[in-house]
Amino acid sequence: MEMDIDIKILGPGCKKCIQVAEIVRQVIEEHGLPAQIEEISSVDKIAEFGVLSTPAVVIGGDVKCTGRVPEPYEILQWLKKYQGTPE
Amino acid sequence: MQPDNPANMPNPVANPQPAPPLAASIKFKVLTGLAGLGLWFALYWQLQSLAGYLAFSLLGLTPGSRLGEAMLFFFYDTPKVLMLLTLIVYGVGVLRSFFTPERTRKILAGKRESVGNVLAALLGIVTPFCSCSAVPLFIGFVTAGVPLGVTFSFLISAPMVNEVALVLLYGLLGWKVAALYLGTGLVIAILAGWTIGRLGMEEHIEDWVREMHINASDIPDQRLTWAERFDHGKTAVRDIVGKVWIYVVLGIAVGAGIHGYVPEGIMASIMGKQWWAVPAAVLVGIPMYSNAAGIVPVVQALLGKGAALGTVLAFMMAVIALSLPETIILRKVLKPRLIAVFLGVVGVGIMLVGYLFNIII
Repeated sequence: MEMDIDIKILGPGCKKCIQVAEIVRQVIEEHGLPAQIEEISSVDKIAEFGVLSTPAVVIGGDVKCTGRVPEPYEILQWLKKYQGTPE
Repeated sequence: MQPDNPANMPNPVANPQPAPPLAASIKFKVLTGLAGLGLWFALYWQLQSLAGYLAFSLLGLTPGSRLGEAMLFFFYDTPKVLMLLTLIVYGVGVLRSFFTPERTRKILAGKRESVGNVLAALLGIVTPFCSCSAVPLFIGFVTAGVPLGVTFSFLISAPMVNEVALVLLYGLLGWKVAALYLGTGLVIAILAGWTIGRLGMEEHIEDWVREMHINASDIPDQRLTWAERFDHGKTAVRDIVGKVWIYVVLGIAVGAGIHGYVPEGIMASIMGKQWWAVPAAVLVGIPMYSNAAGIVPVVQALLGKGAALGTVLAFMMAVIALSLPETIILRKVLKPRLIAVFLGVVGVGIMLVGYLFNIII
């Protein structure tokens, strides 16, 4: 059985954070990846990840990028790497 | 189910350096960049005559008439400022790809206070910063051992001394006023941060922040290729110029109206050199929330109508640096007394700058 990938999107709710959540959803849908997305907007929780600038993307507990909106191909690469499938 | 079980991860230090599938070669990027720069300069030097042609030949307005002069001003200043903005924002975007907040924190964490205040104010200019992440940044800095005063120097300088304000000041008021703004902005950030540090207000940070333990070296340093840095510049132009162009156009339109229709000297009575003008400008400026793009063109027009430079600088700094939304955001991590001290110290600094320039100019 495949396990869901744990994705967290950190951001207090500004425009860019919403954009990131949209892009991540798109990538997951497009490639049919099993994933759980959690959007975290409370600043103390965000700070606990050691993140200094939002939006940030956390996959399987690893902070992947901060302070910018990642490209879809980057997100796909992070997800594939996490799953252990060769690109 | 254990979602963050890392067992099926082949490479825990995942730090991908992907080449975009359709990446143009770096050579191509540099060449198109140079061609664009050439085109930029060619167009920039023609703006004055283009504006004259638009206003007087195409629209048939009379040179020297009120409407004619207002339109000339609008047709010349709008493209000039937008072109300058595009070029500088691109450059700063590439530059900022070298200065992540994480790296800035690393630089500031080991520093003594006075040196730290100067460094923090300078890094505030080049480190990417958005007021919506002021809180995580504050927590990240303070818990990593950056002194409170040094953190404030950064938090004051980052919004106040920004490339959009500097470009607009340079484009509309000349390099001297831009340099004054840069210089005094840095001095305020350094001294206000230093003062807050001296006051020893660490216990006025909210308790839950002081109890937090965060692993500061969590995030791997992202290494970027030059192609990616150029992309950062492009993103910055899309984000920043895409957001502020409308304020620039509106601001210059209002400014052009003031230029053409408001009588000379009218501002001298309310934004002149009276003793109360500077504090009044700061008090009015704090709750006003505008970005530099909207405020500078109006300020330029006010100066033309007899407002004093010191008063106007103070007003502008209060609008840009002391914004109410950011203060409300910071309230989550600062107790009311520290918020009051922050507003007070920065406000006094801005007023001193205002008085100083009203006296010497």
